[in-house]
Amino acid sequence: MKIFYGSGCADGYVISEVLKKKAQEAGSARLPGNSEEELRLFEEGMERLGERLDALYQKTLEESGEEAAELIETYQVILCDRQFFDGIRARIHQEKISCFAAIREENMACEKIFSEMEDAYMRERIEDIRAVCGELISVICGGPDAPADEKPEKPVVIVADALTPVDTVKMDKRYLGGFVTETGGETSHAVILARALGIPAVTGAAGIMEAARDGMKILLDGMEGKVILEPDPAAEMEAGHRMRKAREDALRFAKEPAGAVYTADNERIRLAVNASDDARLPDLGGCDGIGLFRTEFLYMQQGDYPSEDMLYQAYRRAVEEADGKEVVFRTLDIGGDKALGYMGLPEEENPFLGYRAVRICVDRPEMFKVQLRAMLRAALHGKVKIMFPMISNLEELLYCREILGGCRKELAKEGVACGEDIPVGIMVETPSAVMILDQLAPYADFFSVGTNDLTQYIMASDRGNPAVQKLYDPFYPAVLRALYHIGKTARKAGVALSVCGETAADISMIPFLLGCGVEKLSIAEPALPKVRYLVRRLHREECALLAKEIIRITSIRKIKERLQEYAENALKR
Amino acid sequence: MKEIKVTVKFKEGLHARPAVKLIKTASAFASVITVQKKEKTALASSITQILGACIVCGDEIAVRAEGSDEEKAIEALEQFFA
Repeated sequence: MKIFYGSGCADGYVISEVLKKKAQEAGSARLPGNSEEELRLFEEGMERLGERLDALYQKTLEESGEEAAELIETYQVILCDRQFFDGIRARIHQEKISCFAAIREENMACEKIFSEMEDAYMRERIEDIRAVCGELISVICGGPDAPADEKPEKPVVIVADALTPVDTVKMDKRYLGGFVTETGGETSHAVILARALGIPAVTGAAGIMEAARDGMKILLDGMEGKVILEPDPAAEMEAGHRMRKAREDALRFAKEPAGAVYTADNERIRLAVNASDDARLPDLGGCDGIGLFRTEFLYMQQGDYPSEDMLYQAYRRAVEEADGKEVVFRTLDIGGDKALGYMGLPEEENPFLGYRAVRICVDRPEMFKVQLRAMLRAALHGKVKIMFPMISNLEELLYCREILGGCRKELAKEGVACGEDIPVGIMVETPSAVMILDQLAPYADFFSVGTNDLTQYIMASDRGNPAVQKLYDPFYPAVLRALYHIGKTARKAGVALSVCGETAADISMIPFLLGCGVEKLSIAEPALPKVRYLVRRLHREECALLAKEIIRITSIRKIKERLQEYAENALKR
Repeated sequence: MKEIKVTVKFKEGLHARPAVKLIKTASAFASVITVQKKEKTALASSITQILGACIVCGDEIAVRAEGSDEEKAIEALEQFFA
């Protein structure tokens, strides 16, 4: 059994078999023929791809609706771009290279222009051009039955490096159980399609391509972003149970009206969603904004540090789309486990206990300032909060605030407008922060508990390591007591408390969290209906009594039974 | 040659869908149609050029048509940007 974590993008569970998407480039690395021959291949390819896209457009329209089909329409328009494809023709003629090389080179030249654009959305459009070029190569390579066109004959989960929308619509939907991709971010189209089809999708599951083999059994949890290869019988049984239950519940929760959420005893609980700089924002209509905005993607996407303006454009777009609702930006949370060549980070034996997040940022104030300035500027356009991850001592927090204050002064001096009165908070995810929370409180406008990391640090159990998977469980009394302590300290200090992390969307955990005094939950967007339904049926006072009772129980099994029973009863109300 | 100045009102600028619609609108005419933002000019038949011009909401751009049906083309484009 091997476990991988990525971001859950489209909700649902599935147990199925792996089908790996093969690399497309095979066969295209041959020597060029004469120019006429290469041109003929190219023109034939263009024609066939045109026909294919026409057919694909119809198919998508029928299967997935207009929104999904519009993506294919974009491809059709790219294919009609004479200027671009004339560039390829000219290369074949003048440079005497193969049509494949010409396509790739023209694509790269175009990517270079686009990658220098300031607007993040525009830079993402490279994806579309790259996809069309990739399709063109595969059409020329293999004719109508290119090897890249997977044709499953039984239900499968597609595992790929990245998926283009073309990949996703080409597949036979009857047998498509879900997607997993190794890299995140490049999949915004695929994710939309997955949602349209109502199948689970997980992106950014690092390591999955190396471990997965065709035909391997795979378990996908699109809500938590968890992928298990060759699950053991217990994991499989649990998933089966959850699948059945999820289907039943989803029907009921979907009927719950959106809008502000109050507990049954009239306490306002804010529900926010998680978002990131790698994809379109989730729909914010039914919630209280973005409770966790991850900012790593723009740093991972290219070979160098992103510019202040590039970051500013991306952040500003998020703030504007939130349309007056709050956006909580988490500053760069990156470390030795993510390969960022240009940062020159050493490989570490224990990346989760290593050089990461603010630990890097406080050492490299010049790098950190670029991001903070972008956030301050974006704050002018809406309601912004800034949150520092991995704080483990007071000096770090003070230094972060000092750098932020410095940025503000610089901007004022330069005459650049930025937002005023931006609340600054911290992620509470290290045991050290929990222990000194009262000392941190005077310098934090809010606390946000990251329960995934908090669990792994409190339990000293790497959540990617299957050997200690049992220990990585937020229902252990140690984790619950930490949460209870955090709640008590925050209340005493008058600091607002929110939770982001998987537990914030866990039905069994929510009553306990409310009982600890949590006033805001930041969750994956697909979980909104479920959480909203439950919270409206809880009494804050009763939850407080429940929390008090829970932290006296010694056995994790009994705790789980009690919390599950409580949540299920509440759902019946 | 006909020319009009318009302000882009599409929330997403001249990106994905509006860009596609512009190309479709322009392709109905024989005239050569271009859009220009500052010093950057893009052919309305080329998605890569239009995207490359980085036209966002609120930008003021010049739209030109040159050819046998330039008047009709400009009329249609004026409507498109209205």
